[in-house]
Amino acid sequence: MSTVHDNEGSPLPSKRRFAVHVEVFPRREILDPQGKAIGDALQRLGYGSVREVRAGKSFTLLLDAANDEAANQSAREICERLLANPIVEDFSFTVRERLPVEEQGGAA
Amino acid sequence: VVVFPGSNCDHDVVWLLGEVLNQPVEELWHQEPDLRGCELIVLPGGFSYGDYLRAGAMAALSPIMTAVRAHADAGGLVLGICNGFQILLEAGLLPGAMRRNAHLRFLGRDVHVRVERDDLPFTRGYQRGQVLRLPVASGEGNYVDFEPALDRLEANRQVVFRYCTADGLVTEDGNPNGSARAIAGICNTDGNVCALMPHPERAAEEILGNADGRALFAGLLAARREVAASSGSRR
Repeated sequence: MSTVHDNEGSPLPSKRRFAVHVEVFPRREILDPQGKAIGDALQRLGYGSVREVRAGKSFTLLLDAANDEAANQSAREICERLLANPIVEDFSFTVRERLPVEEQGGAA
Repeated sequence: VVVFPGSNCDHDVVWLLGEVLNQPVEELWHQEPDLRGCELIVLPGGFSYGDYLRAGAMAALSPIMTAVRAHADAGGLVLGICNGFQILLEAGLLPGAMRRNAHLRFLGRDVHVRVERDDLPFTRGYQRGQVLRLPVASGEGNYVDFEPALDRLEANRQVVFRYCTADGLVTEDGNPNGSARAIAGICNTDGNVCALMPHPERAAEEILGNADGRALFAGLLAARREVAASSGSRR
């Protein structure tokens, strides 16, 4: 890609850094045997008040993007293409900017 | 036979094809860019990449899968067994997905499956309606897709194997893991990519007490001989 250069020497950082938090859960219509088993275990522990348990996964990503919109776009694509399988899972995510953007070599 | 980190049924397939059926076999490491001219690609069972994220999800993105996809698109034969099935689903070469087994248990025992069509290279060694006894060994073998997609699968005759009772009846009792429509194995619309959860390669020699799986591989060889005889040297 030959977009804006953000090498050192550039007065303004053209990329901003965002923290993306993703949650993936089995779709509502899909049985969640893991959540059910955990729910059963909680009943055995004496927590009869627990009505439902759903077991999912969460991910945190740090990603660089030009703006909020681009960060959201990337996050959505990443969820759709890898983190969730749309046949059996739903996903949701939040995007928050990380401040300040420090240039520190060797970020993940 | 493609070997991913965590594959553990690769040797069974290599043994069967090479030693039992006397065919040349290549073991293809998942990072290889090409298939060394192989005609049949087998994605074996196991726990590729430790089942990270979802079973098969990481393996579906490994370098060799680009070549496997091209092979499949060109009409080449691809067989997925167990984890190989999961990889083909995640790679989008077959439709659908796998959930955890309905009772959450890892299943390691013999099951019965009914052959739903015998006109594929993979099933020509069997007869339609024939009941096979094959071992399963999986925790996520509970096939699922959206209802319209399942209807499409049935309409296109893409269901190749269904879980059943010993008598060949498709009932809840005969369905070990809760799979939608008791699906144990499917193929793509062209019939050149096929996958199943049970392990035919683990039941392919009399000395092991069960050879029901052998005809799948023997049938592939017969299909190949026929094609070679009729059209010269097409793959």
